[in-house]
Amino acid sequence: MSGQARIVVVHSFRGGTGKSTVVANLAQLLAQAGAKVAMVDTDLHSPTLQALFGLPADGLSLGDYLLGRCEIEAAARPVGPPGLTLVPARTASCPLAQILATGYDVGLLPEGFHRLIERQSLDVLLLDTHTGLNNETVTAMACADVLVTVVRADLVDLPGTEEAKAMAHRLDCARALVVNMVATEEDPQQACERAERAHGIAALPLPYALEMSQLAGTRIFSEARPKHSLATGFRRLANTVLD
Amino acid sequence: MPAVTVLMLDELPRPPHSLLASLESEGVGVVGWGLADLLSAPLAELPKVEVLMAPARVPPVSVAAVAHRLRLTGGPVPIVLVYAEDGFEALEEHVRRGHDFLVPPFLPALVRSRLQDCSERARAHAHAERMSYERELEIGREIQAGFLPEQLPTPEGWSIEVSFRPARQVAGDFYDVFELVHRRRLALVVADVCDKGVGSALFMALIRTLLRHTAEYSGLQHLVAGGQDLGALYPVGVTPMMNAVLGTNHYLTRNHLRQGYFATLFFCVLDPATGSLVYINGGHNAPRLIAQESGELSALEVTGPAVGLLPDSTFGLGYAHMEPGDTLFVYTDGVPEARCPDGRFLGEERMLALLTEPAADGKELLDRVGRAVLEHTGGGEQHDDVTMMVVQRGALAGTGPAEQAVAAA
Repeated sequence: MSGQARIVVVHSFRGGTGKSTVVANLAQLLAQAGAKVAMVDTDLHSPTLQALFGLPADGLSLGDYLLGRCEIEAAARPVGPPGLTLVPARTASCPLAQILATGYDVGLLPEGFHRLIERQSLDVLLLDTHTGLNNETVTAMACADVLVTVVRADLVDLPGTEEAKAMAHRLDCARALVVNMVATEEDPQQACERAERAHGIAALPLPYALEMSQLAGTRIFSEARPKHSLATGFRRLANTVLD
Repeated sequence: MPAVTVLMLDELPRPPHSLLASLESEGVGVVGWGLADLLSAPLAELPKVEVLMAPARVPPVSVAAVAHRLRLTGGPVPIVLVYAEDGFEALEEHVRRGHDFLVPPFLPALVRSRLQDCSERARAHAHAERMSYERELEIGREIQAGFLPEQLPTPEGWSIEVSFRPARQVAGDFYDVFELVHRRRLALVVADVCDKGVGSALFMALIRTLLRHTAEYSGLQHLVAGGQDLGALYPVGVTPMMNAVLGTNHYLTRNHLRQGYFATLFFCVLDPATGSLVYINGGHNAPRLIAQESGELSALEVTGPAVGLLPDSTFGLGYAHMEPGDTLFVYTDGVPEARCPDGRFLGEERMLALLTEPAADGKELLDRVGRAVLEHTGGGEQHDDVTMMVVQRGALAGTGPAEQAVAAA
């Protein structure tokens, strides 16, 4: 750690790529290695992280912070190993309709991220994002020190790739490309080359793991199967984002 | 009887000789005009008279039209007196319209007495009208006061003082203080609508409402559609402020450009927790930030044009920071441009000198500048609205002299 907190944003242009799984595993591994880590789920529309970490449906959330009901650190809850917290996107007290109807000042997102970093003396802040490009996603990306783009091995070159590339180019941050769910029978090298051609940056493969579905969201994969090649892939990614 | 000038509506047949002779013998000045000329001549060329005299056979509508035009000249409001030598039934409709009448014999004493009655009645009428105008203005003043904030929301550790003195009953200046972003920020506005009096007061009501309503309800901005520069995301509070200023400028230039009203304004968003200020200065006199530690004044310069001038105006942002003990002084041009009876301005230099002298608090500073403006104006007329706002960040809790004194005790 350089002593300065790093904001890592994980994004994909389409859904079902394993974005939140990447966030959860990165957070788990970084915290296990002794870093102070927080996750903020900025996906107000379809939050996932709170379910992955088994948080109850009540309590404060990012939505409550945006609506002026609390400070952001009040919504951060300890999860997983010591030193790891999660700010869920929204909970029962803060329905999506209310956030959409009231609106909020987008400037609250970067201000909240930096406040959380300061209040919790964080080393790494991980931001999960909504698929595509909406306000929360764009704001999160604009705050990134490292932007991790997640694509699926079987679908690397989809409509939206160009928009995502154009957006990423406008940002002044480091970048990583993850090719997720590479099939066992496929050559990871080939899958990466295909993604690199489409996205123009070096890619890191993550294998498809049937065991993931067997966990059924009860535990974080890298904690449950630390010796699996997918866990190894997550560790490589963790090292990459800290470089 | 005071000197009276009569405008005689001079149509054929000529007015009766006895009437003209009586007027002359009573020293009444008479000017004669034809009906067509009175209805068509430019207003500036019409005579200014106390009495309009016309034969009863001229249709009442025409006489009333002439009287209406005379009122528009800005001269005295004329009373209308119609006369008849015969055909007295023609008087009926005139009287219904409120015209006075004169019938033979046109003897000097009778004519004089009639004119006297009429002119007294006219004076009473004019007085009543003036009273009613002043009452209307007073109502206007009260309504306008409702467009200023009743209370100034003041965050803990801060003080806000304002002084507002219109040149007339109603003003074009205004100020506003309101909370933004769920009380995380405070919006502070001081503005000056061009001109003064009723016209600018109407626009003050419009502009204040547009600014505040837009800022409070600016809702969710779509960054993706807005094409905003991603490297420079707006800090908290800037979106509502920018929406308010751009929206108001757009509204005014789209709907009111022809009327030529615009406003200079200083609109800032304060973060009470940190002392950070971000502002738009639309062609307004640069407010001064007074640093307590160094005593230095810095000017919060213009970041864009006045609001309501140009349809495509863009507004930049200015940034400042207030340390504990620092003071922000916002004012309208009525302060430096206060005129003494011989016409000299108070001047910016003098105003700045008043700001540099130490003051115990914001109120003392406000009183000092206010007093200087009053003394400078002397007995002369106040030419422009004078508005001032002083925002002060208190010394850090527990470290100020007051707290130390308490601790020592």
